[in-house]
Amino acid sequence: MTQRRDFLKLGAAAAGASLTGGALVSAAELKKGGEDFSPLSGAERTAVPTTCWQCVSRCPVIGYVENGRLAKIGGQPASIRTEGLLCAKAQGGVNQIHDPDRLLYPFKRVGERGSGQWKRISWDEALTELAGRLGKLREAGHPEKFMFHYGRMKASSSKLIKSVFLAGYGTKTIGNHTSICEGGKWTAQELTWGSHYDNWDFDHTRYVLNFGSNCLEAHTNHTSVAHRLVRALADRRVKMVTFDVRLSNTAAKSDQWVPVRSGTDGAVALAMCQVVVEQGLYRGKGEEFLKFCKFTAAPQASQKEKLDALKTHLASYTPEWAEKISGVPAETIRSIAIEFASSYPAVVISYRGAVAHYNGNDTERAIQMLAALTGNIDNPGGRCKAVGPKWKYPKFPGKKPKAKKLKIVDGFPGQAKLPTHHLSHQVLKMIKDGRNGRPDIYMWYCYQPVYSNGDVAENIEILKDEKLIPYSVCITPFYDESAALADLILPDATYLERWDWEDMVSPNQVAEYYIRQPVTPPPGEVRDFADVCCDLAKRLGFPLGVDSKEEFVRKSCELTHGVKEAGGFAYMKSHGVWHDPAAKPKYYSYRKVVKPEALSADGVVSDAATGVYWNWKKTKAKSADEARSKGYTHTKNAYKGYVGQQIGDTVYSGFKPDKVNKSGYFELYSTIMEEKGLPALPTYVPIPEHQAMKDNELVLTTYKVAVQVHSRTQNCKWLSEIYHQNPAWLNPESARSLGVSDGDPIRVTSERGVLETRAQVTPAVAPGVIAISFHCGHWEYGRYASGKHAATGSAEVPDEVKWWTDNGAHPNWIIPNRADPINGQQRWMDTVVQVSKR
Amino acid sequence: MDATEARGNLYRLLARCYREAPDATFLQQLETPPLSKALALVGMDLQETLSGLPREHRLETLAVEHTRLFAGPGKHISPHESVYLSDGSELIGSTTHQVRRFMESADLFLPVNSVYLPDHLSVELDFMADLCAREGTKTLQSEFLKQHLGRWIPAFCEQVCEETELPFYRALAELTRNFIASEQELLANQTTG
Repeated sequence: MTQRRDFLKLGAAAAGASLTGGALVSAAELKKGGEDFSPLSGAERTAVPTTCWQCVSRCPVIGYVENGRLAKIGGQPASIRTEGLLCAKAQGGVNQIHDPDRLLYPFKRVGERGSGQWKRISWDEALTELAGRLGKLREAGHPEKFMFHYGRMKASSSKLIKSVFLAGYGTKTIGNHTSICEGGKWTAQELTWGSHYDNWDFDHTRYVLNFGSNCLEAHTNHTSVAHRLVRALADRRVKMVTFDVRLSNTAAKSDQWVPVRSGTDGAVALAMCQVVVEQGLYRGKGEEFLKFCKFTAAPQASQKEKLDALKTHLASYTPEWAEKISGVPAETIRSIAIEFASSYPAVVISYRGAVAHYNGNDTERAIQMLAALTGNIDNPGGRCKAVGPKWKYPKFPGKKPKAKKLKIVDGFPGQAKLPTHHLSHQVLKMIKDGRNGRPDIYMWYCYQPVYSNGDVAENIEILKDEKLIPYSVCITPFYDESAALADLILPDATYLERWDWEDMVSPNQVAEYYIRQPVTPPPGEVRDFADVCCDLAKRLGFPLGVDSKEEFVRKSCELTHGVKEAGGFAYMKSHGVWHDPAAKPKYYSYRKVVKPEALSADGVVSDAATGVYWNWKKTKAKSADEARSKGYTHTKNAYKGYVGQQIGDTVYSGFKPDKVNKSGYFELYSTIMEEKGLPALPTYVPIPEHQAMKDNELVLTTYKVAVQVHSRTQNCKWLSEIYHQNPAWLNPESARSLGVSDGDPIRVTSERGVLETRAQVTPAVAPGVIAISFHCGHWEYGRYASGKHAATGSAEVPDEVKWWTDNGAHPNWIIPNRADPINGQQRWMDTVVQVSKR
Repeated sequence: MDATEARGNLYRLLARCYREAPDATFLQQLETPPLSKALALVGMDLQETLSGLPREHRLETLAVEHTRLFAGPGKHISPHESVYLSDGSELIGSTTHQVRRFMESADLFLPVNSVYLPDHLSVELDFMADLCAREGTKTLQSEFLKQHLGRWIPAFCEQVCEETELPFYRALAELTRNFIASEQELLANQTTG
């Protein structure tokens, strides 16, 4: 056989080539750790306690590793948050590691940006190039021209990357993605009760009033909250009423679903407040709480003055008025208000259905008012201030440089008056505009600028333009729509392959400390970006004091009170979670009386205008005199020096401010808003573009389902197998008038463009609304998300693995990036569209 | 040089080709006799396959094509047996573990910090090279071809041939396919005979 001989010749000739180093070694040469696995012992299963990251809830989980491979993810029974439960998304996390399309190496663009031509490069080459560029900017005194934009970066990842690495580098041009999430809700909470995040105490409540939250399917603290709600509904027969434009599964599990016109929840909430005040239902718990509320400009107003101010403000907000606006019958509003106010403790909950609108800021403030008037604030069974762990961590060694910043993260001047969580969805527009400067390096991490924001076509156009963005770097485990437009792609570890300490809040008001650890090592050349930051910092000459995230987490465990005593890092690695068994649930934090020595501490002064005691030395004031003359409200960062709030003769810890110089009252009368020319008390403002809608126009609303997160889980086979297409929900009444039948292909047109999808005609959505979920319509992100073939060439994904072909439509193509004029929240639920059969 | 050693060398050569794109040194070795002549004999005439490429761009072009074919990002032909074969199409799938076990049963281990998974084509080829270097492994070689390499190489190579825009990789894929076929035949005869 000729060819056989030729092969042998070739083999002999190949002896001359330097082909040293096959991949394999014999057992004797193995590095430490390799001998842990024996093929003779059979399947060995190891349980590794770690933490989920599929959604922002970050639930403690256990990864079960069999033969070096993650076989399944289960709940963590020792968690006081989840109580051992787990959602489908968390279980589908197995697919993240095993995604056949994941990135295994660093890649550098070689063709035109976005042309899809790449070259695999080594980490050394990637970091040499990146450090070279970063170093040049820093040396030139322009660290701010390095923009870092993250989507989700929490806990130790945030501390190590942002507070240590980026601070050490000296850039404050840092974008987040809270404005496309629920930043508006947080601003409204900062204005009323200080630092954001409301926990809903379902374990002790007697009544749940829901404005636009789908917490049984999607929530920032999903499993922890959802299973407690289910328990309240099923075991204790707690009544629940849901106001929503859509019969979400949360609405469906409620005792009553009240369809409401899109963006009018604020009118209903205000009318409920009116009923409570008019009928004296605030008496009792509400009246007690009034003492801690600010309803007038004067800080020390009497109860009567407060009530008079309230009555005057609310007089016109009757249920009959709200009926005209919301479409909800006045009698329904009245009876629910009475039920809610008479069911102490009761909890009013809210989310994007209510707040991701033009008027969302005051809808959330009106909801806070309803909770306050009924005494359901920070009480067992009510709307509580979040409790989370307080980790200590290694700080940046030495002195941080004075950071610089491009003014491109808070939107255009005047676009939002109080954007305390920034306007991430305006960043690309601001780069295009250029008047506030442009970054030379735009790097994004765990973020999808193209797909996750509105105005998808514009996002693509800007990211592609090398004149607008000279150099872009994407850090991601997967090739998504945004990575496709980067110059450099760095393969990040999935959350199941990295270290973290974690800090999500607890639904039971007791802090839980927990960690994330790798269940299996990252494959290929994948690296946790935080580890890469440690390397980069060394190359740039400002070492971070730790060499890896693992070291950062280990040191944090030894620094953190409670965790340290429990056994520190070793304990956390074997148990995953820790909480203080003696800790009592934390309620009524505002009632604590401030000790006299705290009031007489160095730098503490009292502010007559607000009744706030504050330490000017922790603020931007240069002297006690300057602090006194400017006053608490008008001194920059005065909130950072907040000590307590004088009410009567006592100074209480009150509602500690964050991000804005709010007093320690529960502020329903907001001086901060007043000074910005906005209504001081919660007020209903109609959504401008909804006021003159034509007969054939509908309001587009968006939503999430239980088995997917917005954009990052569609590569999970198990999840996309369950949910991969998203026909648009239309009420039969709307469908009839448009001449559309169930299943018809339709065209949904906004001022931004056209989305082609199919109609699902269902009474589960209010007339006048069209509901399209997120999650679908990926055109990258691997075979399961995108519907593309697995590989180049002819082979398709086998049917038995991916049997579906329709991967749905993405509504963000036709949703503009707009902002709530107060807090900057992306107005996901306001887009006016026309619908026609195609 | 005996035949087994020559076979081992060829496995090693192919492993190198699939692991990473050639660097300057490796390409020069490929182009230098006697290796270049031997390659030409089995259909991989480098003068011919590289003739269309301007000299100064050769390495870059080969690297970009290697990336596009075998690494991504995005659509590519996965050089992992567990992904390529349809039993789940998973990275680090059950096949990966089977391959690892097979290798470990021959007392060959992949270090924990290995960039490549056990079922990466280059590692499977390296494994065959390692077996060739040992006496008394004919049955193992035959079994590994039967259970693993031989199961996916033909389709994989065919797909590379269809997809690649460079004669170099078409020739490499053809060489690989033909060599593995010849190996299967050889080992079948030797182990049954």
